[in-house]
Amino acid sequence: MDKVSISHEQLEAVKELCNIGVGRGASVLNTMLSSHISLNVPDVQILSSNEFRDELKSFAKDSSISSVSLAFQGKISGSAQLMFPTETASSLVSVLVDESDELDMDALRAGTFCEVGNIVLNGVMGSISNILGLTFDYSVPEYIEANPENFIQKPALNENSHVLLAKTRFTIDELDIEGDIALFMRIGAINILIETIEKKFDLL
Amino acid sequence: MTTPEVNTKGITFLHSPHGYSILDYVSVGICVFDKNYRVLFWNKCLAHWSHVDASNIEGKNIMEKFPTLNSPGFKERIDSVFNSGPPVLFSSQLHRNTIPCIMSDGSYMIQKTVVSAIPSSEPGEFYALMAIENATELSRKVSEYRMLRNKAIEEVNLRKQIEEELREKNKALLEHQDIKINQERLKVLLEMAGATAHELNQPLMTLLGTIELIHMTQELPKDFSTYLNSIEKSARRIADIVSKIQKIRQYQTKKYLNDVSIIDFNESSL
Repeated sequence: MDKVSISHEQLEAVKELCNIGVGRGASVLNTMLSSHISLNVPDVQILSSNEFRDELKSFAKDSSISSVSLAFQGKISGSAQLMFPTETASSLVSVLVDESDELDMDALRAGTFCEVGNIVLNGVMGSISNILGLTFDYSVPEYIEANPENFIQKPALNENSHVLLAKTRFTIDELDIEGDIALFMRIGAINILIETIEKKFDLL
Repeated sequence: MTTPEVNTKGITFLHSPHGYSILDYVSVGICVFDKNYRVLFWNKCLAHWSHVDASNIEGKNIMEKFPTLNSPGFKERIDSVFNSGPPVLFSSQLHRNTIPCIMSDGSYMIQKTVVSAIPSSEPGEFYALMAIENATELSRKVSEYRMLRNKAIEEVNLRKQIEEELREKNKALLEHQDIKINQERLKVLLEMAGATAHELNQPLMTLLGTIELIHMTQELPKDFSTYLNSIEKSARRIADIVSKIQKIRQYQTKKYLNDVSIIDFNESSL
């Protein structure tokens, strides 16, 4: 199996791209919502599928995972996902729409979460696309809820795929929660992404 | 592919037997507009919902007819689509609707909208395709579900509260019952003890007095004196028990044979 090797500078560049993207997302969210929201990406790592499986289990604990998935195709193909433990996703929606936090993640709330994820992921993908000069074809974002075991059974996560995992901190008024932005890509695609970053940021 | 139609004003519309006009047959409201927000296609479903015919909006700026699209959180996001950005989703809970449509009951339709980039007739340029789903029924069902759920939770909580109150009252009742039983027991015990002490005291005094008189007799056989001492000892023990019976103020028992409990004179007379 091929391997991905990434330097500290390259990871910092990816982190910068993600921070620009989530910053744009936060800016859009703040024009729409009464609560002030700030987003930042304190940590980025590239994980193998097995490492991601372990990470996901510890991230979800005993909860299911709620995710907004945005599939993209182009020179680099894969899917971008914003993931939270379902209870956290539900709390996020409750704060944003000022509802009781005892409600289930029903279809309406899933739709709201999907829009929030859409805004954040569009910021990140827009940032990657604009700064790296890449164009993508996108699918319509979708909401996925599954327990960690089923979530990692997805075909997108096979032995050849790697995950670019960006820890994302959401701070909304009194609520301080952490979610993950995960870019699922095959190793070849990750390597192309790294090469493009190298050229663009002159890291060679 | 679409065969664009160009009218006298040079505006490209997207009606064609093989192009977007197929979207006239779907039950989703669909419109296509260019980067100047000029409507190029308005399907029949959206015309029916909005009561705006395609002929009255195609070629016109959609934001002039529907200013909601120019409000914060709309235009900025839709603009990204013209640069081949990812689809933009407007949820029914955060926006209620993108194209206000009044339904037959007079209420506004609740909508879920996705705006996606589609290639335009010019290379490298993109149109926005807005697909609107009627989410009114879903919203109504979810609201009903929430009401039923809240009602069920309230009923469960009320039931729990009533059960807890019932448990507390039952406990208080049992405690009160215990107190009453103990009071009755003590009353009977005190009456019995009083009567017993009274009835035993007189023959006991006679017995002890007689023993005293026999002791005063000068010439008693040695064996007789030993037996008399034993009788006196037992009589004094009975006197001691009678004294304890007289002092009983509470009901205390101790285990006896075959799981039978008997009154503990020592503990009860403390």
